[in-house]
Amino acid sequence: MPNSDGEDRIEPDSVADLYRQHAGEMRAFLTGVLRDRELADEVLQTVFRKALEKGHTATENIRSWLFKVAWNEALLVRRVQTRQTGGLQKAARSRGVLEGVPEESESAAVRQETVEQVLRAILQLPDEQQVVVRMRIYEEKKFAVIAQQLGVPLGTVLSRMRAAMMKLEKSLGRHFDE
Amino acid sequence: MSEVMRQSEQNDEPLSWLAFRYVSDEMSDAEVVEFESRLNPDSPTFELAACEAVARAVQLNDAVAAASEPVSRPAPQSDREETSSRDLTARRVSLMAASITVLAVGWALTLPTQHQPVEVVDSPAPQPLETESGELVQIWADSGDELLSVIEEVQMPPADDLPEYFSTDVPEWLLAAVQSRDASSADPEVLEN
Repeated sequence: MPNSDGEDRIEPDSVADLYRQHAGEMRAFLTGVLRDRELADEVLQTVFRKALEKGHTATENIRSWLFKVAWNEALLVRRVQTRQTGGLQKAARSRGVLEGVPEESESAAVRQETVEQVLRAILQLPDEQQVVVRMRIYEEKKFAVIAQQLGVPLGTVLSRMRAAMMKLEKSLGRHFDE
Repeated sequence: MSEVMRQSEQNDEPLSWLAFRYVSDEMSDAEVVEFESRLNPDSPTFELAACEAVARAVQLNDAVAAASEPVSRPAPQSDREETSSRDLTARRVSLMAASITVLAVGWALTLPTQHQPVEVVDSPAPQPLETESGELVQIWADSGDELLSVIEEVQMPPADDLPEYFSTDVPEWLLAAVQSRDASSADPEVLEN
């Protein structure tokens, strides 16, 4: 549907398709950059609002464009955060961005399958790698703390974790690509 | 893993490992600056593969955390799956029983006082009463709907602890934004990206 400038914006159905295809990955990216899931969800909304408004101007692959928009919006949030803690969320609510946003329904079957697959992959790791993975990811201990508690050099912990993550990613890579 | 990610692996630090360290806050300040230059589209060192790696690291991290949660110590895989399955079943049954009990008590309390008191039982079927037929139907219908909704809700597998990254349903806010965009005749806001 043309906008007031006569340009053809992305069709709503296409935007919905974009969301289905890329929202999960974008949310994960934003979470990694912002280290805050709530903020990541807020910025995700902004990213796809911009896709509605400006996505038709993308000169490259739309996925690449989405990543770029996500990064720029995340950077903006981080800058605002350092200046005014909590202000962004308040401002977002005043614009109606967060009001009435329902919780997204979740594909429980897919998640359960993923969890089971990950668990199988973890159990195939050597014991010393399983320990490090659990202490770092589940118990959220820093590598330095893990090294101290296990009584091994930090480099050993890093090597074990790196080896474990490489194996897990390799075994789960196809699943995440689907 | 995309081909782009494979081609970006250099030296002894695979991109995926760097991304994991980045999202885990296990990088020095200098390393963060250098890595983020690979995420910044305005940077000459921008790499789409780095963005992909960050997303993948978060997804993998969350999946591993979710998989680790019900296990407190190493055990054979079959035992773990059985324990996890039994835990889920026990939780569902407990929640269902508690919900039905609460609803049965609430339903009993709504009964007219001139009629015989109803024994509260843990059963999805309300007891019939000596009352006006229309009132009875209404009580039954109300109770049935509540119980059915609770049962349906309870039967949904728990998803609170599972990653959100696999949701593919279009949220209502996006649909509303589409409708708002289509209804508007002008776009005064200049959006930059």
